[in-house]
Amino acid sequence: MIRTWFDGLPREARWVFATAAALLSVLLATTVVQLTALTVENLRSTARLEPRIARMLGYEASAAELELAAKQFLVSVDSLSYQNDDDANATGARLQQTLRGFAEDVGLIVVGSQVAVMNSKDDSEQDEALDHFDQLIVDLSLDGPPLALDAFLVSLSQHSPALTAVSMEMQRKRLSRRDSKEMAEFLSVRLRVVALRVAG
Amino acid sequence: MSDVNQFSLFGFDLSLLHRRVRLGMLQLLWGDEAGLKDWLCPKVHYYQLEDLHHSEVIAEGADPRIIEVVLPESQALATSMTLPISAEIFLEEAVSAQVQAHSPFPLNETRWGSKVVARTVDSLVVEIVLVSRVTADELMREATQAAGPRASFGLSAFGLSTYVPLLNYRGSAIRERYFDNLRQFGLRALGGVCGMIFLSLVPVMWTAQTAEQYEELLAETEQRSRDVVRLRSSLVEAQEQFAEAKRFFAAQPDYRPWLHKLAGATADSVYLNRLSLNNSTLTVTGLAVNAADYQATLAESELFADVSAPSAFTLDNRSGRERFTLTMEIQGGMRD
Repeated sequence: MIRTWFDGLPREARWVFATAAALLSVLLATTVVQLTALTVENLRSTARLEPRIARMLGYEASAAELELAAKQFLVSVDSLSYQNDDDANATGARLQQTLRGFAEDVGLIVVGSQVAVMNSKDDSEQDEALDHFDQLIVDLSLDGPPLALDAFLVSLSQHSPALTAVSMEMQRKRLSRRDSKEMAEFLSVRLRVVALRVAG
Repeated sequence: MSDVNQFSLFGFDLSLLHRRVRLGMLQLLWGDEAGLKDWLCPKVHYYQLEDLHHSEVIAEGADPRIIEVVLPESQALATSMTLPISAEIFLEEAVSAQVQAHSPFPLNETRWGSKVVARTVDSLVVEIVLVSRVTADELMREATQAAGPRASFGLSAFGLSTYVPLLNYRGSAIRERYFDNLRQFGLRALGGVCGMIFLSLVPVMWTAQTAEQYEELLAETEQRSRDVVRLRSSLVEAQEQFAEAKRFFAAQPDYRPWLHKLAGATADSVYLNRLSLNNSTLTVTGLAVNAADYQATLAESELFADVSAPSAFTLDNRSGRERFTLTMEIQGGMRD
């Protein structure tokens, strides 16, 4: 009907009417689009906030469980790594003393030992990079009977925080004239022990 | 000739555009095709001069202030002309020229009116009426005396087929009423649009208010649960630390059991001179009566993988045994 009416108009009237109708339509469409965009933005904002609020309310509701779990995990982490209370070098020196003590306790002779600290940033380009830990590396040179070495390895495996040997070389000790006959069965062992320390 | 508007934009003459727009608006407002006039303009009633002396003749429902007086046919001349449709924008000039050509009176003593009575795709037909200025003025004066000064008069003459209003003798009341109705209609339409926009604003306002409430609630909750969030962050960090440390130690084999396993798999006749463990790679060097047998024994034990000899076995003349170096991978046994 409108089309018939429109077609019946003189040409100039059609132009004027079409232009005015187009302008009004654009104006209305712009308004509608703006309002729709505002509504959608508000809805999106609400949808974004709702789960965040729910998540935090969930945290509040389970605060006791969270605290307990955090403590348990901290204890677990403590069993696997040194804390970063001290300087890394001081912790390394303490570890070195501990390992020397283990060796001496089981009857091994500590010929030499060196400590190195590898920071998490230092080894970030390596394949097995650790993000949260520094590595305390102790190289030990030990002389002693096989049973003592076995006992030393037992001490290592039972230590807390955890320690691990990453390389070991052993061979029969070459005796010198001054060495006693008891040392005939001695082994010369070079051992690398690694411990973790929480990166500070 | 009416004056021609000279609009220009960057040198382009816009007067034609202006004329077309003006014509289009006139066609919409006053043309029969648009129907706007029929809808909103008060209906015009035509009266002879003598009818004005008898108020009962005024049509029922008609506005007594809107009076269109019809000239007697004997006092008006009627003619028509056909124009191409494209010349409609110059209608006034064309009618004026036609009047000049056909009027028996001097131009300044002539009054005329015109009306488009037919329009086709190509042409339009215009009826023109001509009347002497003196006659028209006299008729107006008599009409005023008859109907009173409050009435608004327009003068028309019957042309060839319809009434044609005379230029300069159009009553202002009908125009005012028409535009008043148009204004009211426009205001109502505007009110309707505003109402619709307001209705459309309701969900916008509602969602905006909801979003604002959520923002406030989030801020409150964040403030209140700051400690718990911190606690959770420390939990997540501890979990990550634990997982990483566990992964690190799980990748390192415990050497002690492997030394025992190697000793168990090695016969008493085999002497190991040197043993090296680097991560999971085990290298042993020693002397055996039959090094190949020893290699086979280790391979068959299923404790070690990739048992291989990086160098050839050689006979040690002093001990009478074969000197060997074997490398292998320790299998399984990674820490949990």
